Amino acid sequence: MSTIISIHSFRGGTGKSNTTANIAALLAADGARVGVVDTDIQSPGIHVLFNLDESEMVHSLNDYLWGKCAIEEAAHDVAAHLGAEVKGQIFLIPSSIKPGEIARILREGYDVGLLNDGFRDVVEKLKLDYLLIDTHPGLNEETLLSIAISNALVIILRPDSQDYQGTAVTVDVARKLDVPKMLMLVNKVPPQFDLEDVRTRVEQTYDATVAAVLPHSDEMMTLASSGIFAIRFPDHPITKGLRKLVDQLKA
Amino acid sequence: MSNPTLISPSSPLKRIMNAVRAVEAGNYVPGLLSDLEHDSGELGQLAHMLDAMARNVSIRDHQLRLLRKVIPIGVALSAEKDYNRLLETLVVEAQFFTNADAGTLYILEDNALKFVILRNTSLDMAMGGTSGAEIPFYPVKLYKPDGSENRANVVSHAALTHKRINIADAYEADGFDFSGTKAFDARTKYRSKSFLAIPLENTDNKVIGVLQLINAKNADTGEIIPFKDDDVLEALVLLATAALDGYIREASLRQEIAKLKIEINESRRTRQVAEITETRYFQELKDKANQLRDQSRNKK
Repeated sequence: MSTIISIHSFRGGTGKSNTTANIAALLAADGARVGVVDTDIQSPGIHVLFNLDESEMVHSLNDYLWGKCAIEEAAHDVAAHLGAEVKGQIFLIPSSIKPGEIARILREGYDVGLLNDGFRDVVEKLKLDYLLIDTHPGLNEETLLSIAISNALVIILRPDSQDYQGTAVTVDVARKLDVPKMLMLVNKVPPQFDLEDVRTRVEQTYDATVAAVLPHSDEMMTLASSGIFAIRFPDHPITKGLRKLVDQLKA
Repeated sequence: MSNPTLISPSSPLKRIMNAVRAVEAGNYVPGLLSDLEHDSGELGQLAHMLDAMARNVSIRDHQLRLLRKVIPIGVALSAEKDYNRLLETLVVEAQFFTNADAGTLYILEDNALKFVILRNTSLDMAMGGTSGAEIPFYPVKLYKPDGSENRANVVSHAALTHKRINIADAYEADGFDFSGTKAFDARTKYRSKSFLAIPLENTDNKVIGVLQLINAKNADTGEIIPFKDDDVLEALVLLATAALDGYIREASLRQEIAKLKIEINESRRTRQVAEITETRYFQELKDKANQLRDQSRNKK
């Protein structure tokens, strides 16, 4: 039985792709077979975290949506790119980073239903224990679909007034879609905040479980997109927080 | 021939020795041996040399303090998170360099100057900062109830005009309301005399606070004198402005926590959720999702 997990934030810049990559790495470190789909077709980015070069990208999610390949042909084994050995495996299905292909999909759109079939297929073909979906910010059709078919949803927000309203809408919509498990992650919390106080306030406001409150980290910023934080800094408080989130996703 | 050593009640040599000890302890007052200096004998020469040496030591002390105090405060500013403590240090150092008996730092908030740090050496008063003691005085309002500017108060005048105010004697000064000062004096048997109020302007030329120093003292006589310009004070004012800026930024960040709870507009939330969930696509999706979940449950 595999678990589909959508990672979402209403606004960009919350560290969504970074969190997705770290969850994948931690699950794989525990021995799981993990698939990661970048459905942020308009602004793909997670491939950078997995150190997947454009020249190595044989097929992308775009090719699958245009009927050019089977979904599993767009899956790239990136476990060897983590910088440390992991027991499990990670397969990344990237979105195309070619400007022409991004423009085409924005112009022509695609059959959202195909995404659903693709998710099912890839889970089956690659015998995945987990499929992580890195969603596009906002609540468009494909994001709603991803949330609807997920067994678990991780909603990321920052302690920033611009994030609160949209997050509230996301929480309500996810509830209406009967997502079995919904976890919140408060990310990039400035050092002046008391982390426990932030947790309490977010839980009270959204009436939802906060799996972790992660402080802003200079190390994370320095590492930026050049690697997986949880692998590079296994004992860092941020990694411990991400570990808590992963444990709750597995539970 | 008169013996100069007999002029003073105690032996001049002993007085010179005491003066040397005072130089050592850092509390030599220039002119301490002035009567001996008039003596034409060797002791007089010795007293004269000692006095000159002590003055040089005091100048060097001043420079050293600049080096050892002001520069480290500047460095601490770049790393310090405890702005309250920094502000206190800056007030105390500003007092030291101007030889002021009292110092107060105000922060400008909601058009009023709120007390942050208050120090009065001779009254042994320390409030705000690391003292842990709350300052029980009301903030000084910049505007009167009718909306006009309150220029009657020295600190509000400085904040409103962006200009320094240097007053030799508060009781003789015209145009300022020193009634609060006089009431304070009456209560504490103090005599507030010379005032220096410096508006603290940030890089956007916005006044964010005022540093007020009271009762500069003549280092020799202890007499209250007007405030003079001082290079070190200028450096401290710049540092105090930067520290106060940091203090304000930190305080506003801390307040953001409260916003977490209050920033959601509930009616808008309901409307925005309905805009999504009442579409046909959403209803279909919901049915399909339930169907898919049932399927996978059956598979299991």
